[in-house]
Amino acid sequence: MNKFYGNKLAIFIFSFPALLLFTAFVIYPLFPEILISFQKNDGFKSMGYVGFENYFNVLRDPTFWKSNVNTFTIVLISTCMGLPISLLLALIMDRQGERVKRFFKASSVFPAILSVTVIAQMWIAIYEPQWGLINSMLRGIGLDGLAMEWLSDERTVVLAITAAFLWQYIGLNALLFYTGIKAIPKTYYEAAVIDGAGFFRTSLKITIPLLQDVSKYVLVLSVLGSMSQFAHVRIMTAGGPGDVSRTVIYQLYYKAFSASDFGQGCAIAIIFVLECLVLTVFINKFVAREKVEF
Amino acid sequence: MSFKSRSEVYDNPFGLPEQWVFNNYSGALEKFNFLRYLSNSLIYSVSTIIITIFLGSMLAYCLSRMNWKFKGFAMSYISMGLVVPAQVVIIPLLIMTRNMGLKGTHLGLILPYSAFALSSCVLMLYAFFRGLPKELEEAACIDGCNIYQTYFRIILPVIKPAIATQCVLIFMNIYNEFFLAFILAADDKIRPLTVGLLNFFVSIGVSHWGQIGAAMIITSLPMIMVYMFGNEQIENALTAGAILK
Amino acid sequence: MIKLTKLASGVVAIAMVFSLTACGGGNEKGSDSTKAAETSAAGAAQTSQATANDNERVKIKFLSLSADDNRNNIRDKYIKVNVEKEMPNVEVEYDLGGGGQDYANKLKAYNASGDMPDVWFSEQNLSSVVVEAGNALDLAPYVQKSGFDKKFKMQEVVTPDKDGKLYCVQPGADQYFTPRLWYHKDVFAKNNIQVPTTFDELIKVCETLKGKGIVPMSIVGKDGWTPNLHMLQTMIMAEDPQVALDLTNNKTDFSNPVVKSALGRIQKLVQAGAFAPGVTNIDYGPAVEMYTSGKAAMLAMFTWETGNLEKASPDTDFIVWPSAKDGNDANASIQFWGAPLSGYLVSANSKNPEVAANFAMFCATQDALYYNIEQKAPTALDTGVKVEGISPLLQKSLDQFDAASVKIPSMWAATFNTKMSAEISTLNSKLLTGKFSADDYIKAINPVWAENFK
Repeated sequence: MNKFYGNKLAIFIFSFPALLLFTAFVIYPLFPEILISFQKNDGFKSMGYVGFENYFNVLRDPTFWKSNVNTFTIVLISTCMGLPISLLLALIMDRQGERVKRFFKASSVFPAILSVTVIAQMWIAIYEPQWGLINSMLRGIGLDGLAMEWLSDERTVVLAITAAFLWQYIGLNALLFYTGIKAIPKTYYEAAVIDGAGFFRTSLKITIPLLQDVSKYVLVLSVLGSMSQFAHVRIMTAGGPGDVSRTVIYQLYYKAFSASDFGQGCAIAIIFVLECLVLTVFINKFVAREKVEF
Repeated sequence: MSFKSRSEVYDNPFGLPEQWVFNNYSGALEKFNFLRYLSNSLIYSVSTIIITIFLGSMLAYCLSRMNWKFKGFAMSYISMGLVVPAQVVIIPLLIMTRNMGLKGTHLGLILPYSAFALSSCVLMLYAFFRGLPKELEEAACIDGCNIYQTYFRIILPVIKPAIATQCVLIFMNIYNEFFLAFILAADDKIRPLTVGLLNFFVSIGVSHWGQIGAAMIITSLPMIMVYMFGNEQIENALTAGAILK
Repeated sequence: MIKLTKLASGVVAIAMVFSLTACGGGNEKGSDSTKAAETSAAGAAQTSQATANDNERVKIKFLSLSADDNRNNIRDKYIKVNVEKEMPNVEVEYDLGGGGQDYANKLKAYNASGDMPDVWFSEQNLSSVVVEAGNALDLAPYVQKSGFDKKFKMQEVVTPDKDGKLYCVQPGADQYFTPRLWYHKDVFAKNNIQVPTTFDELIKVCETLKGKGIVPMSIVGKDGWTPNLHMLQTMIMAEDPQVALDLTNNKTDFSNPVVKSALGRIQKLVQAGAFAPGVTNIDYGPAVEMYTSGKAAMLAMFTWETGNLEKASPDTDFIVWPSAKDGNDANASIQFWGAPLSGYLVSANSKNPEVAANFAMFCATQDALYYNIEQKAPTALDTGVKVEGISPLLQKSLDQFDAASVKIPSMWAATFNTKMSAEISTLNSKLLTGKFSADDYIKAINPVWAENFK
């Protein structure tokens, strides 16, 4: 078997094309950006190298730190609240009859297949302060005091955007968990049934531990996906009011394109990629890596 | 919203329309070359799916099963793709596609799409390959299959559910992608729907919400159809995959 | 399993069918245009336009804004239609650039990759960067050669800069655009409200309207749009027009006390509840609609919406923005939108500079024709079309425009560079929350302003 898995030519044939494509179109274009991050550059032309000035400027900019806080708020909420909900949904979904299952699945993936533009416009309407769904409902049940300008109030705007983002992907994550659950051989449960274990014990003792690999995949995807949050913010608030709801990528976009400081934009991009690498390493270290043998 | 006339959208945004205004749809259809954009979108999505799944599954298999030195490094390397913001690499990408003579062709967008879709695809399939029992290959090996035959005849069919899920995910991403397409597909002949629809979505000066709603529904329709149609298939694939084990 | 393969092949088949139909469509169009080329080549030969080889059509790549109706109509109904007749030797490839930031990104990406379109339309702050990067062609010789410069009623629109260069040709429609305060006569009459003549009266009107549950004034709050484009300058001019003029000429900065009290006035409007709830998130379309649907009593908007507003709500009228200081006559000064670099530019690297320059001038003319014919609005460029049926409202606006003795260009359109525009958008958006002080504003913007003219 070792010969089988150690076949050098096969390794090359299996890995090289993908790595080549990836390097050419994703990694290679990063290098010019690293160069630009050390230049004064307005996106139209370079005005010479300035050393680490762009990096210092970025790190000194309070808006950059605020955008980090916002980004990590979104990451935290979607991992600590979103993922457990998705997992729970998947576990419940697994226990239902065929018809309910089908309905569950249809409704869970539906938001994710609609384009962000559609979703964001819909949520703008929901949050609209005068006739929006949320405020109308709050007023309807006499809670006028709670009716807020959701997307214009700095206390609520980040949470409001996160809710829209969560809503769109919670079902999709649930489906990914569900695919993982489906892949667990039935034999594991038979023992549990004999033991008379209930939903919680079965889930906790059998399903969740066996979901490790899929969980890790969903976790990485969700963390990095919410790290790169941009589209919802851009459409729903354009980072506003002011710069209150900017995420790191939005700040990057703002610096590079709106303010025509391409050098700083690239510096943010490099810092961002580093942040994400640290996060990925962190996840890889602390989320168990041992192989699960069925 | 898309069946409402212009003023009514504002008066009564959530209720059913009082008058059904179907010419929003014909209006939206007339204003842009819907069929061409739709076919472009499908070309991009389907080609990207084929390339990504083919290359990505091979790499994922190689990473999860085979023994080689730089495996761990390659894994981290490929996951970097999840965090590289497309907004930043767009200019080098544009220069590259031009130098490679891909500008103005569908391939000029398909290759970057595939490269960016690889990371997520490899990570997911990797997770699934790790869940597969090694006995599968051992049996094939004893039967005298070489590694290629084993992979394409035995392994790939087993992970069909994961592949089906990936197909849906990639399709969703590519079909809705805007930024790369906007910059790289300048030629009207190769524009996908998202870019073709720009006239409706960009807000300044556009206040005909009824038509925007119609355009949104029309663009989402193929997605919804593929989904409704594909949903059953995925479900079947899933159950089949589970039984196999 | 089998079903899945079927599905996949089905999708591929559908895609192929679509691509075939798309190709079919393309071919038909191709043959059409070759036909057109034949006829036009014949026409060109007859009129002995023997400058270039008649059989060879020159390809021009043209990038234009495609996010607003005016731009789309100019391109589709005027440029596209008339270029076949008037410039038969030119084959235009149209690239639609969207609007706002998308458009800027596209132009930047093209610029960085050395792949500029031959001709494009851009506004001042974008054009100025392209010009600075040396990528725009000096059009002065072509303009003089063709006599295009003789056709202007306002010569400053085609006057070369101090280096004798002219990078942009424009229709001269923008120069007549000015911000007005539009209001519903019916709403004012019904609530027994007099038209305000001073800023303090305006605040009172807002408070009264707010008390009756009507949104007093609709503005575009997203990204601080209305304050960016005119309200800040309007508020400065309400007290002392000279300060606005000094700002455009870099003779003062934002720590000027008039600027501070202008910011204070916007804040006062916010605090008086003049704007709709959640104003920082209201886009252009919804803002106009809020006014035309009668939900808002007033609208802060430029005269480029005159036609639409009149059509949508017949009881519309406008007032000039009221003065905030005794002795400052609101009618005496006016701000106008036009900027020297807002129009059609030609790439310095165009393979056919002469044809491209002529095409740019042709576009400017079509642009003017559109305004003369469809919008019934005058342009500085004389197209030979007599503008007929100017609406009473537009006429009233034009009369006031002509009577004003001080005409100040818009700071946003003519003075701010991209960084300044971006930063001031952020600050204006914050200002509209009512929780951001004028002092913080000035502290944040002054360093950016100091670099604006560099």
